[in-house]
Amino acid sequence: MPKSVLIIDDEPRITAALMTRLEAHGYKVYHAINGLAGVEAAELHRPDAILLDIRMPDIDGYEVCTRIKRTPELSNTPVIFLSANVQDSARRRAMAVGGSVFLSKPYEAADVIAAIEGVTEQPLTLKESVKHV
Amino acid sequence: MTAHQRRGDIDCDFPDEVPKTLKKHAILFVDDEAGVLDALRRALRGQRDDWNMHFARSVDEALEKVHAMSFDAIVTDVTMPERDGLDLLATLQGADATSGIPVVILTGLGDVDLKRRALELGAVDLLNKPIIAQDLMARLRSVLRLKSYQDELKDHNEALARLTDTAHRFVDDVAHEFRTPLTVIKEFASILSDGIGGEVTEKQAEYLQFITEASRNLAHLIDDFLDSSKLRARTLRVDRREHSVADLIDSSWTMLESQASAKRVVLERQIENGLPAVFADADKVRRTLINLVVNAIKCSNPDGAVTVSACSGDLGGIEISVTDRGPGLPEDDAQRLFERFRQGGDANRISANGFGLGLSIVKDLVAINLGEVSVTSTLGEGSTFSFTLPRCDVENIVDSFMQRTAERAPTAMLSVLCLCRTFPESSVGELLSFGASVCHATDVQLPGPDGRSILIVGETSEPDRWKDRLIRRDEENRKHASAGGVGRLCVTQIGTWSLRDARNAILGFVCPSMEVNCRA
Repeated sequence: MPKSVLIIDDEPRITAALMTRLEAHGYKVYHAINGLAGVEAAELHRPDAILLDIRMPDIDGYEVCTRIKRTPELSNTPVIFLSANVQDSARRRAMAVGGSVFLSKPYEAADVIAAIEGVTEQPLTLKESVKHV
Repeated sequence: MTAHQRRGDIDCDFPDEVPKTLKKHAILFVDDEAGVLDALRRALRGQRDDWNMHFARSVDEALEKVHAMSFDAIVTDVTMPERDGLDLLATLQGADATSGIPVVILTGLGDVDLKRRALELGAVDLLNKPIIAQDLMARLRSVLRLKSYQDELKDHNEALARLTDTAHRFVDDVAHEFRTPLTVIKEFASILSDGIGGEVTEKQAEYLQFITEASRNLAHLIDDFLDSSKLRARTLRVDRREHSVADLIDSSWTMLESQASAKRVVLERQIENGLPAVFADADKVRRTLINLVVNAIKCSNPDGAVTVSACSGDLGGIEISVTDRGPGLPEDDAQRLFERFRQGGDANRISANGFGLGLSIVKDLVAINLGEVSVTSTLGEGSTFSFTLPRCDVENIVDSFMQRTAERAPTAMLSVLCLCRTFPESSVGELLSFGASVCHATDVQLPGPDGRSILIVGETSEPDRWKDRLIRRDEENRKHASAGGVGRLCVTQIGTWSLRDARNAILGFVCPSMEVNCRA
């Protein structure tokens, strides 16, 4: 069964680019256009990994991640942040709310795929999650 | 000239001014003797009527009134039953809300010790008893005038701090807005050239690669431009922490590799085993590295190689180097490379766009990380650009900081290395009001009284180690006749830092006669 990825991003052209790339790579891809829809879609589809934007019109990516990590059925779903905010403070905050990887836009497709493969290979061990924080 | 005229045509959000002459000043007189207060009331009422006079018979009553309304000045007797006037002064100075109210102390003639204590506690003026009404009037007028200037400055500083903050957010928003469409352009060009949208000819794939490449360069240029404008505005924020060198290099490696392979350049890395962690702003290290590697790739011939290496440096820090096997450049040009916008004389290098800006930023970014940048180059063989980062330990951080301070000593007579993670953004504006010129949001420079003071404000659990190291390093500096002597030190412990501590510490340098309470 192909791995499934949920993209949560309010910019449709970015979503389109990611979907094209990831579907070509054999993933099953879902998408949501804002934070709240993203949390709902995560509950509905239970994806193997989530690609999450930070700046969104309703709730931001940090809040989305916090809610996902608070939901028992989703708390183990790895979250990959993908943001145009490149500051280190954003990176740290993303890790603090439970993100597994932080990538910046413009992204390298190879980085995105490597991150998805990395986080879905096996559940993060405690040691790794500590290292990421 | 009024303040309003002076501001001329600057269109910004300064608070509306209340004409000071129309506003009645509220003054509180504190004395336990009703007779004295009565005499004051009569004497001053006859003199002038634009003051609202309030009276209190004890320190507690005075404090109650101070909390109920705002006063422009307080005149207090010292000797009172229960709590005395100095107690009132200390209480007012001890709270942020009331520390700005000027306090005039009434004392007996000749009590020198008491006068000294009153001034140390922050009294703005002293007046001998018995009071002469004209004297008190004159003193109060000058105190109120100073207070109104002070308030005006404070308002303007707050407005400036807000403007800086707005500018900051604007710059970050612009960067964010630029990156989104760039991502779309770059990624779809890349998708097409990878043949995901259907078959493309070799020629088409090559053209699409050009678009991908140009988008990547544009993204770097946006970052450079933003860094550069923040550096010039001295508003670049700094956040130094402990990082592993390998992690810092890893985080932009894929992007750099793609950029290299597009030019058919091989990117190699050599990281010495067991390198200690560094103390640096990760973002600034990444930006430095990207600039140097992109520059090295541009200088490389097709099928060439660029090497990124990290090893222990000469002065105990870590050295990261980027080596290309390009055309190299003459010694003289190499030394002039880091001047803003200047470019080397070689035609190959000049053709590399964005070159001058990127390197001048590198120099500044490395300085922020308390490091040094250098270049060695041989014509026809290539160049190596290196920068250092301090190891994450007290000794190395202090040494690196002192080195940098010694270099810029003529202009920065008093430097503050702020290691506090909780340093509030808004306090930068406050520090400006002491004449500080803000270098980076968390590093503050201002002239000290003796021209050789260094203040280190650090958030640390090992204040003694910091202090020892600073003193030792200072002695070495003095021996070698270089600048950067330590005047006084202030090392605060984790969690105890506040703006008030900083202000007191800095005032202690500017006015050395003041007693300063350093928690060291």
